[in-house]
Amino acid sequence: MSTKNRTTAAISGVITLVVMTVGIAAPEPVSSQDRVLADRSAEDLLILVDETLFPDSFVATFRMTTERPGRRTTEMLIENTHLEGSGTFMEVEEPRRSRGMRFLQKENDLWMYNPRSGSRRAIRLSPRDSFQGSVFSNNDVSDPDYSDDYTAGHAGSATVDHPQLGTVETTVIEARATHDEAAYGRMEIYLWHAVGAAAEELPGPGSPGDVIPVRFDYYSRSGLPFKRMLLLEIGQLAGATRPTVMRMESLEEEGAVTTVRIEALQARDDIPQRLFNQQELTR
Amino acid sequence: MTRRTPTLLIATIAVFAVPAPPPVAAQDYSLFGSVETRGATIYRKDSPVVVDATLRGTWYPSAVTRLAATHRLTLGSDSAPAELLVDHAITAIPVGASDGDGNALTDAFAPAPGSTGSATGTAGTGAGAATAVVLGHEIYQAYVSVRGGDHVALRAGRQRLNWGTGWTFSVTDALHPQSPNSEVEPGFDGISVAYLPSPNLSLEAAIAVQDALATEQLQDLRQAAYISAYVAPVDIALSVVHQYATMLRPGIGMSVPAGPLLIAGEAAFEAYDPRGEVLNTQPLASIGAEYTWYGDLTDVVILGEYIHNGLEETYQEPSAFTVAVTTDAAGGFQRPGRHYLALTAGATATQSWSTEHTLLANLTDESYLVRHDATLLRIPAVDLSAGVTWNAGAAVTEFGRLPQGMVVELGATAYF
Repeated sequence: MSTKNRTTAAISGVITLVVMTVGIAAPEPVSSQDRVLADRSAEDLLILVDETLFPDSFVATFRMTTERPGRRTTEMLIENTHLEGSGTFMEVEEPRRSRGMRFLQKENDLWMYNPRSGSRRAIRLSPRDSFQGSVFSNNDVSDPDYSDDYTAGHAGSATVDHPQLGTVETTVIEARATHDEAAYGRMEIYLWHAVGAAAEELPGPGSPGDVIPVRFDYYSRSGLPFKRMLLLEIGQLAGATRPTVMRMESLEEEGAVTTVRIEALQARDDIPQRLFNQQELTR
Repeated sequence: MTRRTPTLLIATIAVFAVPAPPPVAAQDYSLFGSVETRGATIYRKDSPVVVDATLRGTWYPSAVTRLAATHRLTLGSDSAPAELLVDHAITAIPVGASDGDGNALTDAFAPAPGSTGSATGTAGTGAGAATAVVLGHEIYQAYVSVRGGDHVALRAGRQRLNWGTGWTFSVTDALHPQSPNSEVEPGFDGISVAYLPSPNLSLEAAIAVQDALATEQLQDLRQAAYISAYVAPVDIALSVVHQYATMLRPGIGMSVPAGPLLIAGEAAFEAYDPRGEVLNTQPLASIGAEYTWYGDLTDVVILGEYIHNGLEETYQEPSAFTVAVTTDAAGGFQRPGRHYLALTAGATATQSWSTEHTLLANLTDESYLVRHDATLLRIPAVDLSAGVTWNAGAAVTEFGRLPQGMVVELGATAYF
């Protein structure tokens, strides 16, 4: 072994020893994120996630753009009406070919009706299947509440490189499906406690509990990671600070990305229950 | 059967007009629709089913342009909103696009606009072939709807109810005209009341007036009641249709997901035999399964359904040379076969292409109707399509008696 090689090996050994020593003797210090959020139960945090993403009942307009390598970029504009405890009703505004197409989600079932099909019968869809060829599943788009279908536990902390917030420290909770019909077997949700300089730059009164989810990692029932969602452009919507853009990336198909931009969101408590009756879907 | 006209629809709305809300300015108007043009070449069978022997075994061209539109006008106040909906289509066929016998064709397997034969039961108003084009106008729905609070809705006019759980035909549905080959399933003429006490339960009652207006007999009003409930994850429907001295049909339907399949079935008993005006109960039933897979790149749908028609003996005469099925004073499910099988396989790549293949088999007389479609979806708001329809069976069978043996079509549809 040459002198140069011996020196390199020695340096490498020292570095390895230092890293091991630090790793064992000095674990990652409890961050301000952990201190604030570790005392709150993961179940509470999961409910906060639901509250931060959307109000209990709302009317929203989503613009969904899907990009896949080698394929034409597709775009949809969807009117989404959600009533807590009743379900979600969606109607496609664009593209023109799909205009008038409606979706109704109740509990774990989902129906689709296309008035242009000439049929008066709604089609039943699987919540886990892709929504209109996007990276989002039917359930992602139609059911805004995770706390109904998942149970949560703390899973440590992590840093996330966020295009708007920079590198931020987050608390991670792990959400596991409570029943077989849930769209995912497991999720890791990265929560940012909205304090500090980055939070001060955000407009408006803050999010519920000042906890903002910034990233979701989705795992199949077999444990394989297959999707990742970044929550972007945190701003003011329906009287609170919320992410206004959701960027879902497929980990199975390189380059496949669907972006949902919330163009409008209004909290509403006067949504009629009849809208969520199947008879209304085809009327 | 007498073909209905727009006059009937106007009369229906006039007779059954609900108390109109106070006149207010339009709050919201929406319109969507499509313009479709198709060219086809059609093969006349080399068979006695083609009356003119000199034309047997030959091809002839056909074409049609169709403008379909749905207008929705919302009126009234928030507490009592009202809606006017008109869903209709206009077809135009060049005079030269005929079958060579002077009969213009919109579709080789559907009645021509303005034809006087057995029809879909909707309003055809086609002009004669003496003009440059044959025009047809079909009204699928045209109704006024008024809501009373959050739970009640009243409708008057031509309308459809969300009825049945079967795919190919609904054997419990004796209220709506049924035409498996119509572009759009048309509605019945009359009034309906819906009561929706919760998101998972609906109760509807309807009165259809088309027969009563045709015969000017009040007893020919057809009454129907429909209850649907969602008891997760099962959809359940109960129904009954009645017309004096014509029909009494109670029915039940159910659909339930089972793994990747959706299984659906319907059963009904037609209690009345109008030939002898006696009770003579006959069963109707369907059972089917659908597999759907909506993937990131491609959607796949596979469907199979068996239909049992216990009314085969009651109504032995098929619906002329078309496969149109109508609700009329005689039946409501008037097909010549006792056993049917329907199969469909389709695939769609979102906003790229789609293909669908369907088979409808009359297992009783061993005749078959087959259609293959492929559509290019890559142009925004425009579909380019190609289709082939063919049939097989002896000359006396339901599908074998069709004079057109094969239709090859190319088409384009623009959406607005």
